[in-house]
Amino acid sequence: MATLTVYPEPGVTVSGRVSRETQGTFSAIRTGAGTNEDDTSELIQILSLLADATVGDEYERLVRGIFLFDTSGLPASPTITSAVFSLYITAKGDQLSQSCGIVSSNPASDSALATTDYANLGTTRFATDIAISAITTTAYNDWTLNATGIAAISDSGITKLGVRLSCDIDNSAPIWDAGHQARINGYTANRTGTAEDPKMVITYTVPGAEVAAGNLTLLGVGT
Amino acid sequence: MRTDYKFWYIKRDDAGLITEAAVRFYEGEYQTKVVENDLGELEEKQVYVRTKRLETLTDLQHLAKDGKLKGITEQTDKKAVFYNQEDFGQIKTDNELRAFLNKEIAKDKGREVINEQKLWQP
Repeated sequence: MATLTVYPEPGVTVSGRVSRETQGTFSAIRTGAGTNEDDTSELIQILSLLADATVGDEYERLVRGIFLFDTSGLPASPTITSAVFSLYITAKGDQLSQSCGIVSSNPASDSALATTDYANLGTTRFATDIAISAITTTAYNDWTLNATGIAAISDSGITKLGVRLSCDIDNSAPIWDAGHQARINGYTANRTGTAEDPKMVITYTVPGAEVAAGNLTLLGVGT
Repeated sequence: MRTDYKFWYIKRDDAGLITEAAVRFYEGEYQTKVVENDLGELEEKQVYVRTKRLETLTDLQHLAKDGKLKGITEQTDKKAVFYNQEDFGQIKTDNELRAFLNKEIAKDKGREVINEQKLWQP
């Protein structure tokens, strides 16, 4: 079986975060309009839920991650046997007993995030959640996509993934405590170099022999 | 001229050998920027900032063989440089690919791979 390892491109297939950073109840912060976005930093809070320091059952921040991949390098109609989405996590904290889940995303633009994209993540899981307590820092962490996640991979276009905390996916408020937080920090594709970028490894087969990349051009011919 | 690259994709066969790699080349410069660290603190750092994506034969003439260079068009209509085993031989690891790409950049004496990618100097 062959594999395709694919990466987002800064400014073209976006990787970043969207958030709501206006204090409110769990419901309000989860369903309210997005207020912030970041698609240019190389190090971001990929996920965060921060309880307010004084007002009970209110929160100051909820962050969601968005990661897009041009998966058109796959051959036509592959049989995908597995896909693993990986993020390089640099730091974490969890006082709210949360896990990190993979879902769909659908930002308005493939190349840049807007605050309105805060509402453009799904709630159907594409992989088994990883508890923040089980996340390894200064290392890649891997989510193996389930059948629903694999079905979302495009062999001719852009595959769009989102990352959300489990409470955010399930609409289930955690046990509040003043100033408590759940978070993971990690690198986007804006990171310099190639060793820590978000990536997806897709294992596949094709009927018969795979045809070599078909849309080759000779750069410079006519330019 | 500082030059770096990012991978679009890397294909491997059943044996784990890299069969194809589509690579995006850029040039840029180091700038002093204020960035946020893992502790949420702002700090000044020298950061490499890309200023141009290299897509045409004029930009990438140092990589051409007999005046030609293989490219592959992405969904975004941008072009990445395409390499296969004819170019890099039998390699398996990302580090071997990085070492090959650093050699490619070094073909142009006016270009220097960025500090963060010098780990894989040929």
